[in-house]
Amino acid sequence: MECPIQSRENADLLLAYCARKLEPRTAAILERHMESCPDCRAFGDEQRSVWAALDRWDAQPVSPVFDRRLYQRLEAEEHRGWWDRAVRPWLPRAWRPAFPLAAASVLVAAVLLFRSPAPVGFPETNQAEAVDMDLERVERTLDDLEMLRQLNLMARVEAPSLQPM
Amino acid sequence: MNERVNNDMVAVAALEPDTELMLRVKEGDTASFALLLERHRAPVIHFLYRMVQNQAVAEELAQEVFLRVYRARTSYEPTAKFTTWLFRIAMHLALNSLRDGKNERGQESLDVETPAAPGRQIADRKPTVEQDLVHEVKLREVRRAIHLLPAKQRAAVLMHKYHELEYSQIARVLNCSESAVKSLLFRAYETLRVRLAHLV
Amino acid sequence: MVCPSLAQSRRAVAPPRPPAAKVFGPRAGRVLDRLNRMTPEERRRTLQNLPPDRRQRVEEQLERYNRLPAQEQQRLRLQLDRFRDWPPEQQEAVRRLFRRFNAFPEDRRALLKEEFRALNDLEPADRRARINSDEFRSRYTLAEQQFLQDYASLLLPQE
Repeated sequence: MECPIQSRENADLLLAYCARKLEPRTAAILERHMESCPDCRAFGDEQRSVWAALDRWDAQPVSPVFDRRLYQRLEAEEHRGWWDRAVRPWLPRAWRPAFPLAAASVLVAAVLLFRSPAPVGFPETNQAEAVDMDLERVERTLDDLEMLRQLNLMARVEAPSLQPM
Repeated sequence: MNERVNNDMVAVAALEPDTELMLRVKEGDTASFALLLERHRAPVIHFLYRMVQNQAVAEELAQEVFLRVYRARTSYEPTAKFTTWLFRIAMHLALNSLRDGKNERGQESLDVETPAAPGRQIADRKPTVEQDLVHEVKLREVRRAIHLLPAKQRAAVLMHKYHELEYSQIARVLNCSESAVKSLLFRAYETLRVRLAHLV
Repeated sequence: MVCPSLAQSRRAVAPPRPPAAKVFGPRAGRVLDRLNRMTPEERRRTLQNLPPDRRQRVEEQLERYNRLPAQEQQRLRLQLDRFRDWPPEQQEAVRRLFRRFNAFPEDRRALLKEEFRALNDLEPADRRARINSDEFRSRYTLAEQQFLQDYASLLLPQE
């Protein structure tokens, strides 16, 4: 085998080996080479140390309101008027600070004039809500959620695709 | 009936491949967007956090990533892996943020302790104050070493080390050849070996 | 933790496409958000129309749901959205199955859970063989055998 350190073309083999991503046959060839090549051996040792050092850096937990904020922004975007949607991307940067103020003024005026219903998605709480709810729907939703939770527990199947990486 | 139920029950919990989901988003299915978000929220935020080293900025940028994904749904064509596309958007936003210095004012000090990871908190034996201190010092060194890498090298290392992207994917994200990625990674790890050698 | 047939997801045929709805995030569970946003007094007034036993059940289930981690809540709500996209009679079939399961004594439920997992790990042909085996018949009552067969045919992937 041509020495990865000297050829450079095979240098990624050493990186892949240290990351345990090399297929077994190639790894075995490389290991045989490393037994007789102090440079590659030293490289491997150092690279593994770097790998271990990087493992110390855990990511931080994601804010629990992340999704909610995103959905609110998406909904706001969906409910933007056609004029806003058409014009906003073309506004020069310098105009933007003034734009929300103007937009807010127009919005307040529009709300006062038309009193349009709240958009779908995250409806606002109000007094009427306390008596308007479809209680059977609430019960059915809670029952179904409990059923799905129980089915998940019964299966005890880990879902890698659902786990945060 | 059973076959239908069986197939659908799978879908109750399971997630189809990302491309299939994104194509559904394109057709107007916002529930599929929620599934994509569920799958990729954490990796995107973690990548951005390690790029800009500020959690609040990372989450703000991640919001923009997913907003852009949603906005692009109508023109979406599955020409590359969804993850590659996603990381490409994330990387561009991170580079812009770093270039504009948006994260500088709020950058989490490399001298400040960061909260211990959940895994460490539930260790069998409670670490001593000295062990905690040693861990924090080493962690700070790691973060600093990554922070000092040129942005493209940093992105390449993060995608390679923490997200296990293939060379070909990293190449597409960075808009360069695979051999350029290998060379980029080799140089980056070389620098890290020097900077972190004393931690061993 | 996810539903039984999750592990088979790669082999799944795509489910029916739900109608496009410009509502972001899980849809079906939003009724819980409304309930959670109420003041205690509003909630009390809302639930007072229910008989006491049903009211208590709602309150307990809501509390249990609220105690789950945010990501688990989100996951369940996504599952619920998919589930609600099924035809109503199929949804009802799963609910009936679940009620039958809860009617078994606790010690038998534990045994049935073990069997769920075993059946879940098997390919359809092996699963059929297991269900038809003498060991299977000797271990479970007729009602349990019928229940497990229904579980397998309703919720596990077929050939």
